[in-house]
Amino acid sequence: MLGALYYDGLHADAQPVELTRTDALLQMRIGDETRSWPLASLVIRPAVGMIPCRVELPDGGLLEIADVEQARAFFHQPRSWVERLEAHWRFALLSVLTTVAALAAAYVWGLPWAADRASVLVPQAWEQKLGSETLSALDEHWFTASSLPAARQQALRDQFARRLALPANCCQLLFRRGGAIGANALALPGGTLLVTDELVALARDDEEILAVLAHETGHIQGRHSVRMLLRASGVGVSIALLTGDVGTLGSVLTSAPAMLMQLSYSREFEEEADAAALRSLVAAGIAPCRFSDILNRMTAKKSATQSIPRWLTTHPDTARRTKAFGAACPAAPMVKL
Amino acid sequence: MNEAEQQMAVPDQPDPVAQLPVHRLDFHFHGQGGEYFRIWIVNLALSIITLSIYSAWAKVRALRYFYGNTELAGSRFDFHGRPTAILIGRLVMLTFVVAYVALSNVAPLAALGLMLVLVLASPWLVWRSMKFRLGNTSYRNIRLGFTGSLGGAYKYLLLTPLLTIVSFGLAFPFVQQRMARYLISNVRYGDARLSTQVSVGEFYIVYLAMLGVLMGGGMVTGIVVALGGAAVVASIHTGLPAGRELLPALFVAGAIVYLLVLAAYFLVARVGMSMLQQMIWNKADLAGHRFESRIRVWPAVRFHLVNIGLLIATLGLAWAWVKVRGARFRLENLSLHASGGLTGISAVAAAPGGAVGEEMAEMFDFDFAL
Repeated sequence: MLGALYYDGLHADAQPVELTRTDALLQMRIGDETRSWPLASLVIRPAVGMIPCRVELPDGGLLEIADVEQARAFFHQPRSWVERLEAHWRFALLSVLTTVAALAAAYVWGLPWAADRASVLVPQAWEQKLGSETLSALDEHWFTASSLPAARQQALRDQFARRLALPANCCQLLFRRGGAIGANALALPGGTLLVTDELVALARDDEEILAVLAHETGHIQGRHSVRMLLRASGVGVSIALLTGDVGTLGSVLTSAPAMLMQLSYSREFEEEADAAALRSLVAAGIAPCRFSDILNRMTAKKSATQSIPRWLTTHPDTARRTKAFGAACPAAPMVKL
Repeated sequence: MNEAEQQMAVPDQPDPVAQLPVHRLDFHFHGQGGEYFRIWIVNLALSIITLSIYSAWAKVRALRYFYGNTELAGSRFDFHGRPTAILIGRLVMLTFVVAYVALSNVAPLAALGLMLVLVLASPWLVWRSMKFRLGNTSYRNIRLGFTGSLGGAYKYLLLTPLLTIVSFGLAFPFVQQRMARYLISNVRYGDARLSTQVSVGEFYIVYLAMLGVLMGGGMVTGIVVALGGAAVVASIHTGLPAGRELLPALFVAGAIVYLLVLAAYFLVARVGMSMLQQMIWNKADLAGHRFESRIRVWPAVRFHLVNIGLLIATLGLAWAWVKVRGARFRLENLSLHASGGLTGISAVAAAPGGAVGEEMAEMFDFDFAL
């Protein structure tokens, strides 16, 4: 015998009843009356945790049995597979591990993959616009006009186009005085390359400048800036989707990781651009060691003059990067081009 | 409980139930944090493994857990929504999000158009979501329901909110009060109507208090940050070597202050919402049966502070405990003063709506915390 509450579905009254059963019938004693239904006609609602067992009767009535374990035994109702998973801490632990592993996999592989697929959809015009906006922001805050003579600029442009054998519409080479940025070269979205006067001065000869430009061209041809943007916004969007539940707190935590994740993405792209640089230097007949030379000098200069916090630098450490390009070039002076 | 108080709750139409003796019926919540954690995390993992298809079933299980552990007068609530209805809702929602993200990268103007469509559709979405959620909720084998008109949804969820803009935010509490009244006063339990007499004044008091706390806190923070900044700038200018080395520490300090401000903002908003809920329920009645909510400010502050602490300390794993604590905090502070019990309420036929509205509404973060 099992105690239950009976609701007729017409009135908000709870009536205590007693249940008994045979092999095929459920019998309910309500007051002096006994009603019965075939067991096959009952719908036992799935259990969740320890919530009471609900049995829907064919006439629209409902039975509520407080103790779900007793109800299970009474109706010979086994736990469903998901109830069994939910009942044990070991499955909970397994679920935590699964969730963490899935999140990690989605970040490490899924997100870059999806962002790269999506980057194909970004139109050239949008990339151009982004590039010109970045350029005007840089000009406003960091750069001043280059003091290199126009003839020198043109000579570098000609060599750049001729020796690195670039596609006709690939890249536009611009010169600026770097100021606080110092000896450096930048690749902007849309194919604009910026070289600072300081870099031109730091280079022993033009092949070293070309070596740096080969690296920056690698960024442009790999569309790294757009892919990086998509990856960053992808992190934001995915976190928003995943934490849709968490609501307000989620939005608080969304922006910080996106920024931090940027750092390792940039490193991956640097390596990709290095590989592209190595290929095009070999193709152009420029000794790859020229890249190591100028890079070492840029790094030495940077660490001497600037004290940027370590976590702000995204370039892989120079020693590791230059390995593929061979050691420093032989000391013999190179022919100035 | 005396007659005078009953008359105050229903001033214009003395109800026959007002003559009967009043019983205080307390809400109780029987869920356990550890038990819900297992349910939540197992269903989350299943959702991930199935590329979130299972999440619709997971959602129904979570809702049934919370409803099934909510007790009033010895009986529990239940949720009847079909997972497939929720799945369809999620697919529609996903299509919308993907279209929006894709368009905002490629054609921002088209994305803006899509956003406009969404804004225009949002009252309908909320309306559908209310119908689905309440129409699929039962207590004592009688369904709840939402009988608000679609016109009302557009009036109170789209038209009056425009007043907020026109009045430079001054009308915001008024808009919120109208919205809450529309959403609450159209809830039915069988043939019994829920309503709330919560006043515009009460909404203004809560929002002004929130504003006051935030402005006071903002001023104190501003002064502290300004003093700290000035000290560092001064030490750099006077050439003290310490100044430059302080810079990284300053970054960290700035980040901590930023996070603290966010946490404080979050806390004030949550406590404010709790107090609004308390006022709404204290002025609510169900066919002459009066509600009472005993949520007070300091317990609410402590409750939400502990939640924030738990979530941060466990990197979000305490989510299940936070949910259970939340349900217990709200429900254990809620009572129904029923005149002559719940006898006399009977069922009416109602057809529950689809789940699209509910999913869209949840995605775009409309939380009514009913």
